[in-house]
Amino acid sequence: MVRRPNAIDFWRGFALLTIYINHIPGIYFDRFTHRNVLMSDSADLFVFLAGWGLCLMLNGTGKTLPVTQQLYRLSARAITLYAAHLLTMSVALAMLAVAANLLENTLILEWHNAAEVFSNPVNAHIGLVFLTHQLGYFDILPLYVMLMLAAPLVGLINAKIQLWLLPISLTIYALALCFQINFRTWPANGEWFFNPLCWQLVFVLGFVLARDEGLGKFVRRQLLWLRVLSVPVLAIGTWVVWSGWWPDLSVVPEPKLLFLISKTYVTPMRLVQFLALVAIVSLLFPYLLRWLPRMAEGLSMLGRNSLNVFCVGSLLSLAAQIVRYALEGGIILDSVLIVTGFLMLGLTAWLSEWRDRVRADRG
Amino acid sequence: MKRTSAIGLARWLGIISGCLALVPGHAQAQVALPRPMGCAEFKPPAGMLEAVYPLPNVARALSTGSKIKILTIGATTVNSRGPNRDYSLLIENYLETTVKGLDVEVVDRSVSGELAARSAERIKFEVALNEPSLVLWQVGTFDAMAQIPIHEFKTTLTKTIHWLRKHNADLVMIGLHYQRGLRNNGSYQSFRKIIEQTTAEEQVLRVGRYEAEELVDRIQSTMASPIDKFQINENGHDCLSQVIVRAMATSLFAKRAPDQTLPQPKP
Repeated sequence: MVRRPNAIDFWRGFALLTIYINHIPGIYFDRFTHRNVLMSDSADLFVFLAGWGLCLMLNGTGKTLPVTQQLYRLSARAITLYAAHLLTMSVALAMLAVAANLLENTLILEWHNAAEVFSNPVNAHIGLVFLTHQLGYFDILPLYVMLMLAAPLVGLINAKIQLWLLPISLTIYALALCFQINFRTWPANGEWFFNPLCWQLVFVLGFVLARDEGLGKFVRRQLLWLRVLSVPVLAIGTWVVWSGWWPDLSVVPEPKLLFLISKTYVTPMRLVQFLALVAIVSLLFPYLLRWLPRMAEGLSMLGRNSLNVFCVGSLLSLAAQIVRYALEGGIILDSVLIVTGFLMLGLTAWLSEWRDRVRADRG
Repeated sequence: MKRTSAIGLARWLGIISGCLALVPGHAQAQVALPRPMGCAEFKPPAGMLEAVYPLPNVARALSTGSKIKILTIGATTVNSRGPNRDYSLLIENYLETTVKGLDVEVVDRSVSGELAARSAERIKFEVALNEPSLVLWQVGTFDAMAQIPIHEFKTTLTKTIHWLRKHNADLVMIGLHYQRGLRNNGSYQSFRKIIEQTTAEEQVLRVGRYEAEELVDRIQSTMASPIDKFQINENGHDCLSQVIVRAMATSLFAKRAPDQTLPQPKP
């Protein structure tokens, strides 16, 4: 029995569609996604909802799952995500290799940080397996794997010392910002695009705000005022993005990361603006469900099958990049790619649910 | 960043010494040159290095004897296919072995396939955190392939150049890659032109990777066993490395004002 359309699945579906568009650089429709007017993008939403989903999974029935059962379920989820990541990256690398051969252009082998895999395969393959080498646009699943590996600890702290969960998370975040701590990449010299030590806060915020008690309860009670406060926060953030205004980074005091706008470190300004966005758009779903039920149901279906849709979407966006390069696309090709991509994502979600229904019918 | 074999190091020293042979006499007199070891006969093709502009922030760091920090960013600046092609080491060794007491640190933040808009964001972030004297930015190839609107691309370049200037960091821009199949690609060629135009307008040092790799291709296609198409980029790196070093040396030593004093060479 599939879940009825709900706000979490709906916004997750929305995030998946915008991620598909944002992962096709240069495509005409990218300018209409919210990252062009806000500091945050769909990645923040995706991680936040993952934390929210974890809370519902652990406490959804109104009763917290036993620790051993939590550990089993979350470990299984982390392994599934890891396997999905490896499979998706393998297919992506093969797509790049095929495209480079067919189009006789070896530069394609360098797209999205893939050069190391083809020029230094021994070390790069070790890096791929240990998540120290990641392809651009395929780097959110490694973060998700790390978060799921840490999820049993989140569940444990939530069960034993609930009030400490957010302070612990904030402390890790603050330390990572103050001392610029991030995971290194290897063999390519660099750092993780999504710093797990910072992004864990987005995940934990999703978790604690989903609870019916503590901070979650407080926020629900004060939601009206929080929404009022969020309007100027959102407006200022949008103005910063549009105007490019920001204090001179060379003169801001240490620790500088507190004043920078960074996706890697999901710095405070980005985080605050994202939370303001959540406060405001969270009121939309009931109206969308009433006025645009087909769209609400469609996006919810995508959100219910987010892992499958995300993996297929990542590969489709790479395919779209190759097609755009090969055919030197304009707006017509871009439109075809968007419509085809959305239909394929919808088909992926539908097939996933059809498979679940068949399995359920068989008993 | 000590990551190369002895053979690779000797080879790079040869490249450097060859490059320095072209630096005007008064500069040569004050630096200790490694012994020439081949690879010095490379002449930059037309368009690869059209104008040499000063690098005032690097020169200032040199004259005060402070650490020279170099940020390499964008789509794999000179690539590092194999242990002997380490670009960071090349620059670091060149400066440290030729100028007495010089302390060089290369911060490598290049990501293969990266687009200009993304690297422009990272440049601001990395410059704010690392405060380099010089930024080496490989840009354009993947914007052209992704068909980023060319006016957006130019705006990104111009804004970043202005931002770097304001924040006391010199820039060397490294142009597009070369591929035979892209010689007649109008869109790709227009990105080459826009980089040339922008760097000329803004008086930014530009090194043409395309021209270097094209020359390698042209020479090697006349050989008995023509080069594999997958090798062109790699061999082009050698030419490119030579010209980057040459451009930096010329800018730093040949254009020096009379009242400025060079750091003393190693004995």
